[in-house]
Amino acid sequence: MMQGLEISSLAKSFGATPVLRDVSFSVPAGSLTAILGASGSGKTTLLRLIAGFEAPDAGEIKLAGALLASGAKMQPPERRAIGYVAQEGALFPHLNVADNITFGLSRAARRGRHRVAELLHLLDLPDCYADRAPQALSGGQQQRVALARALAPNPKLVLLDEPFSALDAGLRAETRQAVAAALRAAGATAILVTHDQEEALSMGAQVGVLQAGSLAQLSAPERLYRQPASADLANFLGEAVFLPGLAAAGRVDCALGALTLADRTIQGAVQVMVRPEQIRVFAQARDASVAARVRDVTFFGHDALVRFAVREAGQDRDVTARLFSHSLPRPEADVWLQVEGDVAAFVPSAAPALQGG
Amino acid sequence: MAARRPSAGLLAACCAASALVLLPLGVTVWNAADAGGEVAAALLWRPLTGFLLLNTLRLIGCAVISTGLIGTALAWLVERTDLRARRVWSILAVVPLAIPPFITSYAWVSLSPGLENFGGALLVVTVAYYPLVYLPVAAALREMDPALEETARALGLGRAAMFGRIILPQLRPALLGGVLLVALDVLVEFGAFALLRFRTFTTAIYGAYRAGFSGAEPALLAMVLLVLCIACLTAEFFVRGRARYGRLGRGARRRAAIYPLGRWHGPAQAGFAVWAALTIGVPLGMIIYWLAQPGDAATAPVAASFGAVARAAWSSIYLGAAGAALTMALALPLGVLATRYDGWLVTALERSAYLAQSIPGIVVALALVSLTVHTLRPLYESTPLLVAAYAVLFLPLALVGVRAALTQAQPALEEAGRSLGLGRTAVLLRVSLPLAAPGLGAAAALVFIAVTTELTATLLLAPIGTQTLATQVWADTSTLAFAAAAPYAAVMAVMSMGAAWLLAGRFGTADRVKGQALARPA
Repeated sequence: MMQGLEISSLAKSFGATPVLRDVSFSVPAGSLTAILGASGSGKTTLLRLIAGFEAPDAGEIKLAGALLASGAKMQPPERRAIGYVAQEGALFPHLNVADNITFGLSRAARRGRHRVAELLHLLDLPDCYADRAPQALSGGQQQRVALARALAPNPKLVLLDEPFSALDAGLRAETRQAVAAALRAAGATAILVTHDQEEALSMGAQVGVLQAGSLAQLSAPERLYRQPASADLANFLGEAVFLPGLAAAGRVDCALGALTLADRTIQGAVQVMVRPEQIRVFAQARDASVAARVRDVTFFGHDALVRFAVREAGQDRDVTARLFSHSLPRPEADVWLQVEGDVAAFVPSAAPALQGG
Repeated sequence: MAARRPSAGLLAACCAASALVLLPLGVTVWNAADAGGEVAAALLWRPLTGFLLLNTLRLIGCAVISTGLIGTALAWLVERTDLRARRVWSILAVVPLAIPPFITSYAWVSLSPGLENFGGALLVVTVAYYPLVYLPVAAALREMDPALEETARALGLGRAAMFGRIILPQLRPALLGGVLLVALDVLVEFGAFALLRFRTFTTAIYGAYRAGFSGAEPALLAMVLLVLCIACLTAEFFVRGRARYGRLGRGARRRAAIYPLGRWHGPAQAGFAVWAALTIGVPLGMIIYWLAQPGDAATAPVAASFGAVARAAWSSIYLGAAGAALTMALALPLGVLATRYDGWLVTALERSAYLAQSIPGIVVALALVSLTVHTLRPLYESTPLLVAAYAVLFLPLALVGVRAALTQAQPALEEAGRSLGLGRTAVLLRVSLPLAAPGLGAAAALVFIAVTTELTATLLLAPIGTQTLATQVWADTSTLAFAAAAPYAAVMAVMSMGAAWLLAGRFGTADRVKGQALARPA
């Protein structure tokens, strides 16, 4: 297997403010890793350190076995062979599309418009765009040209800094697909940073979550979503239902019944996390189902969120389910709920007896 | 962007530029302090100071009102009414900015000697400086959100009430900023008032210097003037800061509402025509009139020959080129520092350069004279000293342009170049310079024009025997030889207006170039 990117114990602060602390991870060659983080989590700084626009305070960055940065000692960005796609594309306004794409190539290659047609095709752009000015393109097309420009010199790694955040919803999905396809076709090793959960989970072969400058978790998207490392992460990645429960021997008892734990080693008083789409609704009682009453329904079109009250030990608990919208229960209806699949659970860290009852 | 530290060389270049700007200020303060408390009190505490203060403040007060009213009215007509030929009027409204004020003054004085009084001074100042109000107010009117006006109408406000309660409050930063620039320009103007024989601080300082008084009196008067100027610049700085705040808006906005003039259409057209005749017709008309007169129509000491005009034009062009080169050399490092780094030192260095905007030409010239006469004798009345004076005077003008040009080459674009395998130098050559070059060229051209039409510093510092277009107009007009001055004035007017036309055409949006011209110190 080819060596990709390896980052170990990377740290950076601006003045007295630490932005990244002790970040380590690796990106296998030929795959895309998405880094997810809220604004201010340090994700752009991480990209800029890898690209070489900033020097780290500590830690190492290695690409294909070669050391790029070790503490403040670093190789300048132009010698790293790392492509960079900035938030709004950063196309050179004084050059046309073809000249933008060939910008990083030798003089002869620039004159011969080397790879222009190939790259336009790769990104699903018509040939006639080669002579257009960047200003004449839509935001999504500009982003595709920016990626073509980054891919032209055959970089060892491509960095994408929230490349879709400036696009509106329809354009975003389309551009995302075109970019993912182009990266796959080029066999590129890539890092995408974003604050959009859907984007990170759908594009990354592995997804890392950056919180306050630390890498909270890095794993395959399915595992990250189903078994996040903490309740906080679970919330950040999508809607979640939290219930108090008691875990023993791979199962946990809670308001939604006795459920199977994904991590069978957990014991004792826990916080159970169920994703709303794991909950199914029936009109009659079934095996391992619990009674509930519908509180309200929020209709979105293709699906809906339905809030239930589940009775447990003389107390009503709020549970939310995501249901397909073709058959929805009516408010005040009495129904039965069943949980599909394994659930995650978190041991409250030295928490007071708040979650107990 | 803020993470890197500027290199020592860059900081040194910026400190040198800043020191050059602060030098005349320091010398003036030194000379004033040298007089000692008692002498200073005796020199300042006398009727002359009061008279000058009253004269200057009265003129500023009236000019603020007249330029404010006229500038706002014209901007309203051009931007927000259905006035016919609005495009033509919008161009004619800013042409006076390209005519040096002392040329306007020359034209009016040669039209009637009866204008050598307060009324004449007010007329010339209003005619020459109203675009400083017109431009920002027109821009503010253009960018106003029509939804606010519609909401006000829907809430039951009539047109007059809507203007007072919705439009005027939104115009306030632009209007205030504009009239403060007018006040500042009136304070520092010398040539126009000298030709009108109207006494302000600048002419009094010149008079005291010519009369050969000790360095103390001109320096003390200069101190009073400086205090007024810095107060104006500070106020303008704060007003402008707020104006920028108000402009933050998102998304495409609808075009501002247009109001029909109805039966006022005829009077509005006529008024605009009269105003254009006063502001453009009179200055250009008088130059043409005097050009057509034989040289002895006025008491001409020397009739202007082609050779003399060509020699003067060459001096002006030569000094303009040298001045533009030095000014740009000082402005470039400051611009790089201001656009690529931040921190208190960066802010301080940049602000110190803009401070030059509030130092009148007469004060700069006088400070350099006193410095060289006493300590650097070989530089006295030398070309390098004159060029240095230009650099001090026009550094703010160059810096505005350089800053705008360098902002074109955003750091993100430079980083894109680096990530594509280009080193610092290659990025400079293939990304930054191609993007900034047009703006840098425009800035250099503006400085060039400003230098060729500069009078005050040239008058005091030019080497013996060096005559420029400006000093010739001055010399001939002072002896009432209006016809002799006409060819020089004509060349200056053609050069200045031609350059403005070229710049506006080359860079499409005339407003940007004119916007830069707003930073023009007199």
